[in-house]
Amino acid sequence: MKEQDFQIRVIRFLSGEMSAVESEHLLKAISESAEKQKFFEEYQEIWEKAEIQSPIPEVDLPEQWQQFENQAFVEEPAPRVIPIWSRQIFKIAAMMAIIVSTILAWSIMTKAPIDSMEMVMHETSVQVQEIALPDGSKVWLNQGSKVEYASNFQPRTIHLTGEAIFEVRHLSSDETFTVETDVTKVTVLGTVFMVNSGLESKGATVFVKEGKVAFEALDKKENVEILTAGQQAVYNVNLHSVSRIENPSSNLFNWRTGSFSFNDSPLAEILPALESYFGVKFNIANPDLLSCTYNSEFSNMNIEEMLEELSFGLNLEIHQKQPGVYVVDGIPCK
Amino acid sequence: MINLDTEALISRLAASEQLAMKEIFHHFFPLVFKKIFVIVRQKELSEDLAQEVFLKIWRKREKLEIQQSLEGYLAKMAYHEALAHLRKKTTEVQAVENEQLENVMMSDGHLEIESMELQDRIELIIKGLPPRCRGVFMLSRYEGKSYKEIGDLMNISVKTVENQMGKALGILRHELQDLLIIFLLSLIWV
Repeated sequence: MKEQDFQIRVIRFLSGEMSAVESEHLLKAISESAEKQKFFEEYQEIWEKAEIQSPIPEVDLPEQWQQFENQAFVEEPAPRVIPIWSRQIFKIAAMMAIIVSTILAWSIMTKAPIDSMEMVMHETSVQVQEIALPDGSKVWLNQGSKVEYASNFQPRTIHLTGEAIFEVRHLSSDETFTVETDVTKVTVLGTVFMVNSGLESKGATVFVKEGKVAFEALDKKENVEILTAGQQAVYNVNLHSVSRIENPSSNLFNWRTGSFSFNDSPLAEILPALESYFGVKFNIANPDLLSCTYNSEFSNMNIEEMLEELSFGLNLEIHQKQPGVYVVDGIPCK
Repeated sequence: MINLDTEALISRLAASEQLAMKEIFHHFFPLVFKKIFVIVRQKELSEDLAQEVFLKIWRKREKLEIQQSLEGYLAKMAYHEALAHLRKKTTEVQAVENEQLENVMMSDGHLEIESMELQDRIELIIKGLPPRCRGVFMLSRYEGKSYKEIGDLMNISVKTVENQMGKALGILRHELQDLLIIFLLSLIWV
């Protein structure tokens, strides 16, 4: 991501977009790092090489004029008026991605009478929430999710409905951190991971970003998957078993980080990711479009910027039909 | 270039004087063609689009409102024509260009262009850029447009212009990797 930012700055410099002050900063940064200097020199070289352009071909003016005469002066009689600026615009009206921030934060509820222990509950509706747990661990709670735990957090057990990312603080080796969903249990042996409690039809999933976790089905305890960084597993509701998922998507954490990375990803994958992150809805005018693929990294962009980039790259027409609802149209890719 | 009395020309044009149109055409066709060619990179297509620009001028002759110079006005129309083409470019046109690219493509999908003249290589890489990405790059590199001007012409934000410039140069850098190695070595040995 940083390299991408640096690249954009270098190119802005080369194309004369930078003010003197900005240029000075950039050149200073370049002079301080051998790596940056190499990168800069490469781009400078490319920029200069790219100037070598094939010559502009000569046109046969009399022939062109004749062609014009035949068309313009013959087609008359009455002059027609055609608007010159029939601009091909995809106009995305300013979209208010303002997210209602009504969140039940720290709404403490007493969950009697199981052990008459005070329970803490956090619940999100449409906004992601970051929660600090009593032991110093962190939870990022995705939209429409809920976590509950005993206020003293002893033992470190948390109940999840929906989806959350956990960054677990490592205490002594025998002190576990457990996330329970209705049907599964994840015991943490390491640090950053995500749990989705799943819907009725779709089983719970766990994705581990760093460290190591054990994922088991509550109704079949012998079936345990030990997951390490980059691994994902799913609980199958019908089989009551836990199994690995090959090649997890790289965008599972985007709702926390605000960044997306698409690698030859089809629109069929991109649009749902944007829908759930921005809370918008897409209507596809032509289903063939869904197989168009796109390559890009987005970070900290708003929905308008993302859609502009996407429609530009794939030659799509994206119109806002009503707030939060977009119609996607265009010529399907091959 | 002969100094044209454009104001007089435009009023003569408005009176449907074909001779005025002829003067304008002969004076500006090469310019309009060039502006379009820089972006479109195909001779015949650029000629057709340039014709279209002058047809629009002729059809609209009674209602022309030219604030700036006629030259500036035509240049802007040329950009719009070329960019509109890039936008609506059909898969058919793309297919023809892909075929041209495939002629120099090796079995592993890499361009067999290391042996070509630098100029031809660059031309080929540029032709292979996604159409509108190429539009952004050409306007910046060859037409000296600012990001803001490009954004206005193409109806996109400056941020998208920045990203597309990054994309274009990233591709060029990737495709010209072998030259860069030679270049960087030469820096060390000199």
